[in-house]
Amino acid sequence: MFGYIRPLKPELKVSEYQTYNAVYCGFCRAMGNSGALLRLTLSYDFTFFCLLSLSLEEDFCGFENCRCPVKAFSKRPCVKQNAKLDYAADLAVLMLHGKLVDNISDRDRTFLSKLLMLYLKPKYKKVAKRLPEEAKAVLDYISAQQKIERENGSIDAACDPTAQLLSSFFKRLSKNSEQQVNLERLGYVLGRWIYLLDAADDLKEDIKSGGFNPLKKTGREDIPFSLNVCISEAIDAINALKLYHFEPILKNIIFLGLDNTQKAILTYTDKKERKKALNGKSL
Amino acid sequence: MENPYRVLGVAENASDEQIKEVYRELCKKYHPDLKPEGMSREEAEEKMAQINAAYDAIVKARRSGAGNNFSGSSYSGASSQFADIRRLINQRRIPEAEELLDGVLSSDRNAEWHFLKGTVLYSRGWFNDAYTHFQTACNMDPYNQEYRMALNQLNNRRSGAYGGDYRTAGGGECDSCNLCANLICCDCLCEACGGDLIPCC
Repeated sequence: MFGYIRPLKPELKVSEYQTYNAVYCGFCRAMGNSGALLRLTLSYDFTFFCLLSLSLEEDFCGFENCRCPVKAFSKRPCVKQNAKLDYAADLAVLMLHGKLVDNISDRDRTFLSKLLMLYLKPKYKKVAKRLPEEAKAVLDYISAQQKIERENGSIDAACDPTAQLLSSFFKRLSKNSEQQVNLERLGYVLGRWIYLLDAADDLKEDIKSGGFNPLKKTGREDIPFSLNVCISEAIDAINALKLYHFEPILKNIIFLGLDNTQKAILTYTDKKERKKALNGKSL
Repeated sequence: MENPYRVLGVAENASDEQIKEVYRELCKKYHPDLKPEGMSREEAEEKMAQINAAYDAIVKARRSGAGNNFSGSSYSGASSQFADIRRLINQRRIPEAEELLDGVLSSDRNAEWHFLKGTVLYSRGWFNDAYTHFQTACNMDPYNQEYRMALNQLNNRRSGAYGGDYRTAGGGECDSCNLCANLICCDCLCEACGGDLIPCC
């Protein structure tokens, strides 16, 4: 939902970049099956999730051509439709719903959120029926997050709901208990990293507006240290996983992408410069 | 006397080699002849005597097969609680370990408590609080290797020293170019020493 988890494009091989795009397109198509407008909420983060999901099983369904409505219906390679992409698309619906619920209760962008909610509600209900545990996990996450904000929790406590949510989602990607241990850890530290980075990005604004931000408790110099530990742990976790496919792409994202995104977000506030940096143009 | 393993700062299940290594390091650090920093000669001599006594005790006990039974009268209730906690942590039973830790009275929360609390928090992913506890442990017991190592490892992660090779040149693959070049190098080195790996080169 933030687009923080993305590859460092210049360090991908051309074939890997094409594969990455094919997964992105496959996910987009799966989202479109839930609702055309939902394609607009596409993100790199979920593409990573799809890559990870597909990498954990030896069988891979392969690619096919599909027509892209955004690119004048030109033919593009795309991962074939499969249950894993559909599952990821369902999770995206749940996350989007959660975000809207949170916005509405925060009285943040209420009009737009309520409008989107009208569109999303029927789709959400269908998905929640299919995936009741995951739907509950998202709602639990929202309420845990709101509780921490009311109680002005510590940094670790504030990161925990997001981290636990991703941890539980990642764990479900494999039935192998050894893999699950590493997936849980990877999910946890990535969730923590995303939350911290978002908090760091919002810090200035939150200080002005008086909004909750756990990083108000720490010095600015300490922020990269906390983020670095998460990346370090993510590297250990991905190294411990048995990946049948897309290993170089996944490792690019974890080893290089996270660090690059972190530097881009912390260094640049101007949108244009930040976009350039996120795409890997030299800092 | 105090638990000798704690004096040296090693785990009770450390191997003989590890204990020897730690002892050597401590000697280099605290031997009075080497004038350790921040200590007077008397302090260094006292510290060295403690280290020697602890090391002798461990070696003697292991040789005689008495194992690690150092529960003397100075082994307070709080300390034996920590042995249980350490065992739980080793068995990855983190919630139980944490419950025991939180049950310890504030007055008994020594350096080892902070180290174990930090360990438990770290395994749960609460890295910030873990760091604070490791720092406290090292402040309370600056000479303890175990706590210092934990703090240093976390500091390494914080510094962004990720290590691990991603995309190093060649990626360690054994392709025919590498194989040929390596063999030729080996042959040259061999010939330099009077042998010959590849007779025709």
